Amino acid sequence: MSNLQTSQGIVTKDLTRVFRVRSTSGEGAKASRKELVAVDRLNLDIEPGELFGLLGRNGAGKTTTIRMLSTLIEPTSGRASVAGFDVARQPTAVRASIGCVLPGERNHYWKLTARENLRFFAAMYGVDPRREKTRIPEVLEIVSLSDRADERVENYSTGMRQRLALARALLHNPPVLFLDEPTGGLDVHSARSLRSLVKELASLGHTVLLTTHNLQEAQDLCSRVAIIHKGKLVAVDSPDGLRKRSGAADIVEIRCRLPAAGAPHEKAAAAVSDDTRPERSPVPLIRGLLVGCGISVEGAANGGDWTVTSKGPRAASYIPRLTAALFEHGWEMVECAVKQPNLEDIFVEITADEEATADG
Amino acid sequence: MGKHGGLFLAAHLRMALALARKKLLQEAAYGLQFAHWFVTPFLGILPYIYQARFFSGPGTQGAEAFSRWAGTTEYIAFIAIGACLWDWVTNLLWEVGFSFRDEQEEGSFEQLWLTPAPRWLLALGNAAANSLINLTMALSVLLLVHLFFGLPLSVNWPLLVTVAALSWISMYGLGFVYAGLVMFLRDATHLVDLVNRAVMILAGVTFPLSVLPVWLRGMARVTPLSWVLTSLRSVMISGSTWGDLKLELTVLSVMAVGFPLFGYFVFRIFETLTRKRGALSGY
Ligand SMILES: Nc1ncnc2c1ncn2[C@@H]1O[C@H](COP(=O)(O)OP(=O)(O)O)[C@@H](O)[C@H]1O
Ligand SMILES: [Mg+2]
Repeated sequence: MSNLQTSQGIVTKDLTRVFRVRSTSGEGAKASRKELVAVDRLNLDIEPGELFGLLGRNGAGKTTTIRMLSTLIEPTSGRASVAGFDVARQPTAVRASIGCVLPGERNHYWKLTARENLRFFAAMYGVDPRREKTRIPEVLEIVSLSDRADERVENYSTGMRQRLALARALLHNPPVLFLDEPTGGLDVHSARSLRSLVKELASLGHTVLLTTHNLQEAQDLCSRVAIIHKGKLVAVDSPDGLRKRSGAADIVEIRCRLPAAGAPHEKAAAAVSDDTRPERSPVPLIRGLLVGCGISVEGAANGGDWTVTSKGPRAASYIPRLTAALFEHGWEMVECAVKQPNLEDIFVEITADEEATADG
Repeated sequence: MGKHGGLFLAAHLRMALALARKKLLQEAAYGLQFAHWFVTPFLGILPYIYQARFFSGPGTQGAEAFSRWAGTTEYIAFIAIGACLWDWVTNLLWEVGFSFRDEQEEGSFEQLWLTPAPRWLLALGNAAANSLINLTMALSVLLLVHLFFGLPLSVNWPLLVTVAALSWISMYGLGFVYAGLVMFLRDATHLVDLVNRAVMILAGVTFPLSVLPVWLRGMARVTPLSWVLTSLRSVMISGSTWGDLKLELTVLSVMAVGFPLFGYFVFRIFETLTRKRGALSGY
C-alpha cells in the first residue's frame, strides 16, 4: 500500500475524485444519481521550490485537485502527499504545511479589519504570539496592504481581498502554497502585481501550485505546466515545451479589402496585372501560395473587409510572400498580426493527439 | 505531537480565545444587536406572564389552584424562569451548529477548516462567545423580571451553579450532533423548529409537567431538556437543596459525561461523511 514516494513537494498517485451528482432526466421529475469523475487518476510530481501550473478549462478538475490536496475533501481513490505528509493519514500536518488561496472573496471576515483577520488566523495556525507581532506587519508589507490594514475588509476592493488572502496564506510561512486562480476577477494592473508577487514567493523557496485557465499567466510564471482536461492529465511540460509540442505553431491574421473601383491604387494594380480583376475572396489566392506547406487557411468577410487566418508551423515566415501577392492583386492591407496559439488551440491539438493514439 | 508538550495546550487556548474574540468583534460591528439581546427576550416572556395573571383571576385563589399543580404559588416566577431558561437552554443546544452556519454563510467555513486547529475546538471556540452572550442575556432578563414582578431570589448559589454547569456541558455535547448535521445537510433549521416546539411542550416551559396527559409525561421524563429545566427551576423557585435533587444531579451528571462523548462521536462521523461526499463549501 505504501508505494507512494514522498517528497517535500507535492506527489499524487492515481488521485481520483468521483462526485455523485443528482441529474434530472428530460421526461418527468425522476431524479437519478450519476457519477461524475472530476479528477481521473492524476499523477503529478512537483518538486520542492517549483512554481507549477495546473491549466485547464472551467470544470477540468483544478479546484477539486486543490481541495483534495488541502484535505478539504477526501480522494475517492489514489494517494497524495504534500510537503512529505500523506493527505489522508496526516491531515493536520498537511494543513500546517500549506497556505491556500481559494477562489471567491467571501472567505474573510468582512466585519473585521485586515489586521484582525490576520491576528485571528495567526492564532488558528498556532503562530507563536511573539512571532505574530512581527509576522503580521511583514505579510502586510509583502502584499502592500500596510497602510490599509486597519480598514474593514468589506471596504476592500477585489484585488485587495485577494492580496489579503495571500497574506493570510503566508502567515505561518508554509513550505507549500496552493493558489487557485489567484488572478481571477482582477483588473489588469492588480493581476500583474499579484503575478510578480507570486513569482517572488517562489523565488523565496515556497513550492507553489497555481491553477489558471490563462496560458499567458502560466507562461509568465510557471517552470512547468500540467494540462488537465475532463479530470485527466493530458500533458506536463515547460510552457515552451508545450508550445513546441503543439503543431499550430503560428497563427497569422491578415485583414485586407479591395479599394473602391476607380481608386488610383487599383488602376496601378490593374496596370501591373492587366489580365483579370482579382477574385472577390482573397482565400483562394492565399491557399494557392501556401499549397504543400501544411498550413490551413480560412477566411471570413465582414462588410468589405476580409480576415484571412493561416494556421500552421512557421506560418509567420510566409508573410512577405502573402502581402506581396495581395498587393499585386490589388488588395489593400488593413492589418497583419501574428498570434501565438492560445490554450484553446493547444488543447484541441493535444486532445486530438490523445484520441488519435487511442484509436491507433 | 508529544514533542510540543505544554506549548500545545497554550496554542489551543489561544485558538479558543481567538475564535471567541473574533465572534465578539463581529457582534460589536452590528452594534444594534446589543438591544436585541436584552429587550427582545424580555418582551418575549411578557405575554406568558400576563396570560397567566389573567387565568389566575383576581385575588389569590387562582394561585392556590396553581400551586396544587406546580407545588408553588409563585406562578409568575414559574413562567418567567421557565421561559427564560428555555431560551438559554435551547440556545446552548443549537449554538454550536448555528456558529457553523454563520461561518458557512459568511463564506469563511472552508478557510477555518483549512487551519490545523482540532475540529472540536473550532466548534467549541466558535460557540463560546455565543455562550457568553446567551448567559448575559438570560441573567439580564431574570433581572428585569425581578425588577418588574419581584422574582423571589433566595437561591442556593453553589447548587444553582453546579446544576447550570452540568446542563451547559450536556447541552453543548448534544449540540455537537446538530453541528454535524449542519455541516452535512448545510441547512438544518427545520429541525431546530421542530425540536424547539416539541421541547417547549415536553420540558414544561410555561406549565408544570403534571398537567400533561400521562403518555406525554412519560416522554417528558426521557427528554433531556425537561431534566435541565425542572432542576434549574426547582433550585430557583422552590429553594431545593442538594439532598432534594439527588436524582436530578445524578441524571444531569450522566448526561454531562455521556452527551459530549456521544455528540463528538456523531460529529466526527458527519465530518468524515461530508469530506467523503465532497461539499464542505457552499450553503
Ligand atoms: N461538490 C461537488 N459536487 C458535485 N460535483 C462537483 C463538486 N465540485 C466540483 N464538481 C464538479 O467537478 C468538475 C470539476 O470541477 P472543478 O474542480 O471545480 O473544476 P475547475 O476548478 O477546473 O474549474 C465539474 O464538473 C464540477 O461541476
Ligand atoms: Mg476552479
